Amino acid sequence: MVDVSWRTARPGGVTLVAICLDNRVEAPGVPAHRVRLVPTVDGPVWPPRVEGVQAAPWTVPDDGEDDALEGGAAAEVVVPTGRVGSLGFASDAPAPEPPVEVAEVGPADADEGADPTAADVLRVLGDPAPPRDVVAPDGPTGRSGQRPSASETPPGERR
Amino acid sequence: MILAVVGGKGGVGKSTVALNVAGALSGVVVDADLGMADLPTGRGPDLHDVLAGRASPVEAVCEHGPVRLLPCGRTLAGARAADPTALVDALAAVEAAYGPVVVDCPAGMTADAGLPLYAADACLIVTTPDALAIPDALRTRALARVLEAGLERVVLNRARDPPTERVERTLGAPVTVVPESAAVDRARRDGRPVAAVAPDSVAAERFQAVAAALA
Repeated sequence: MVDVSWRTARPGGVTLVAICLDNRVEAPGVPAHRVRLVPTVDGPVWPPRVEGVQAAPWTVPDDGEDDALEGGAAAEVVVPTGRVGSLGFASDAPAPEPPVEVAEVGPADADEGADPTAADVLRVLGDPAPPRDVVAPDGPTGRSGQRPSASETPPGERR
Repeated sequence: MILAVVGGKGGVGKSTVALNVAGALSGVVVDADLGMADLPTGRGPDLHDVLAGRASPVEAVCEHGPVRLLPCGRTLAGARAADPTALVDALAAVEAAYGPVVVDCPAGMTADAGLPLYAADACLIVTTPDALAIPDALRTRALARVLEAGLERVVLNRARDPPTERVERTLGAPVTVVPESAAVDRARRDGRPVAAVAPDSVAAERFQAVAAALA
């Protein structure tokens, strides 16, 4: 059974939760475990982001694109047997004890999630976009931290 | 086939090689230098529009020039609005519609250079034979290995007295030498492959040889 421990801090009114998934267990024939975690906070779950790309596998069933995941947020982490995995999130609500509950643990393949995705490439190598300061703030394609989705841009509008 | 033309260092001739190899392959050249595009641009939608979801990749391919081209926008706002990860699907769509796709990648090692390698089946490294360009070519080769874009060939560009064997040994791939040539410069200024300007030149023959080795 994967051992779950956590640390919480609340600097400046934001709760930071760090979760440790210790899978250093005897499990012959099981190369890895998949752990499904459900946060218990009464508020939004903000996944960590690196270079604008979400860097922890938090998902929400209905709307995965939402910045803050509310209602039904969960994370599925595959931790190889004999290793320790980690993830975290932030929230503006205080963290209860425990801040996450283990919904499910099951065996998984060791190489699951090992192939890089395009988002991994972006996260590791860095976003090439010019900084916000060089783009006129009110321009039609200027973005403030988020790229406009196709639906936000009126049809036919260019630059 | 999706072929990324990479190099690490700027100014070594990636765009020229991409344009000429795409011409020799009868493919499409995609200008993927989101922040500093330098292949010709047209009046239609460009790669910024495609990556911001405003145009389909296939409608952005300009078929009128000497080489089919998916041009890139020139504005910083366009570069900022573009989602670089959308390039992966865009290149696949262009390949499905047109066949061989040659991607002119930006210099450097950020994600706009990495994502074409991620999308590509193979890569060409372009380098000049100098002490600044070769280390960057080595770094790019390491990145291409991680992203599983096999290094097909090295183009040793603008080489007068080329250390071909040494470069071959260092980068571990066959080398094609393209000599410094006024015809290449002249063709490049017009956005044309050298084969259209000086079909009998050494440079034209070398680009043809690169394409033949890839096919």
